[in-house]
Amino acid sequence: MPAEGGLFENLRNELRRGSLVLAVLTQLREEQYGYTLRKALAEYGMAIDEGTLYPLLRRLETQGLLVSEWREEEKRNKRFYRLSPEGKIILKQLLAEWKSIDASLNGILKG
Amino acid sequence: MELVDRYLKTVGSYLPKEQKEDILRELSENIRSEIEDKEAELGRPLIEVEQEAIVKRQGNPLLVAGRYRQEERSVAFGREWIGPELFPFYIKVLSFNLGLATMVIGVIQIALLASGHHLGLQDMMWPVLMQVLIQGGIITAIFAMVNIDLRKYPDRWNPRRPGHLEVQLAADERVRCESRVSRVESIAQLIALAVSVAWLQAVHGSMHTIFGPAASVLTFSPAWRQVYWPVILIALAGMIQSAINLFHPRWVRLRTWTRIGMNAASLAIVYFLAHAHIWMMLNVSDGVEVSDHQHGVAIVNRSILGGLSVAAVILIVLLVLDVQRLLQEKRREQSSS
Repeated sequence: MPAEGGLFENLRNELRRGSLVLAVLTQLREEQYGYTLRKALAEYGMAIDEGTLYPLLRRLETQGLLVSEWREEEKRNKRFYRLSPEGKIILKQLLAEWKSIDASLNGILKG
Repeated sequence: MELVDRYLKTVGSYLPKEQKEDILRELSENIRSEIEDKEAELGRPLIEVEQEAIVKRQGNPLLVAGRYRQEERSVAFGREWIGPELFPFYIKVLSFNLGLATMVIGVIQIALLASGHHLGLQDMMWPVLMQVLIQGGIITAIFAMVNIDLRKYPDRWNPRRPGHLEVQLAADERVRCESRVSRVESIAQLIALAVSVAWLQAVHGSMHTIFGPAASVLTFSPAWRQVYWPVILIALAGMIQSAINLFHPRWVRLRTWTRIGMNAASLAIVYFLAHAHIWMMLNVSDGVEVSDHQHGVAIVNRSILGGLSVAAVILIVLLVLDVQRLLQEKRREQSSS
């Protein structure tokens, strides 16, 4: 049933979109560059396309949640990202919100 | 690394100048890290198909660049017509086309005003409004179709030819680099040419379409009437080609040859027109005072000569590019056989 498959895919993408920002911010409590971040997320089961992740990092930086700097590592210049002070505050608030949603949903599912 | 460079170049062509260098530098580092990582895992350099898979995973260059642009404007009437990724290009094309049309109409109107002809606001706005409706409609329709194709098949692009919006053959089909004419391109060409033919007929039937009230003063010289049917035939040839390619997308040669034929014929028409020396005349039959408008008509004719020269240069460039493409296709065929 392709129509239902497509609908599921759309809803799943919507569900993942918000969680993805949370995962990226959480992961960037420690400094990383684009490719290693993508690998780390994939290892935790949050696989994300390069074409989505790299522009997302730029957007989060523009929003002031991340800071970045070019630095040499293994003889190559790479752009490293980490949480900004504002990003740390927002992440804390988002995680609290996440836990509250999780608790509510669990309650609904059990009820 | 030619594939990676080509991919980066294509993404870069869609990025705003001020961010381009920085984004490409970062993207390049990430892709190269991924390739190195894979090479370390396999213990050997990657073969081309493996590199192609990594480049493919980066995403459609147009969509990726669109995400970097962080463009949020779009065209939507209930549902999305032109998404944020295409919006900047849509605006660019629209402003170029409408700007050009407005400039042509402006030159005609200034020439008329300079020669003492009275034009009211409504008289001046009507031809501009017609262009907005016709050209705006065509351009919006074409972009809406490209948008549908992008949304439906975001992965249909070829890492070997990342700049082409064309139907991508699945990598596992192992059909290498077999070019196809994209359906979007065929449909867009078919619509654009059909609307152009309809527009030409409207102009042929009533010059008010392009000149507005100035049509009572200006008329085309006989040279235009002589090229009218050849122009229609060229457009029909293009429509037949796009209709055939819609059902036979692999007949790429047909497109190249038709384009060469169309451009060569258009160049011949431009050459013929350039030798006519007079393109616009006074419409003396309406009892217009000839001496009042001669200066204005001279300005219009000078502008048309400039336009014909630009058209000739563009057509020559297109012809050279198409012949080059044909030779490349031949060379590719010879090397593969």
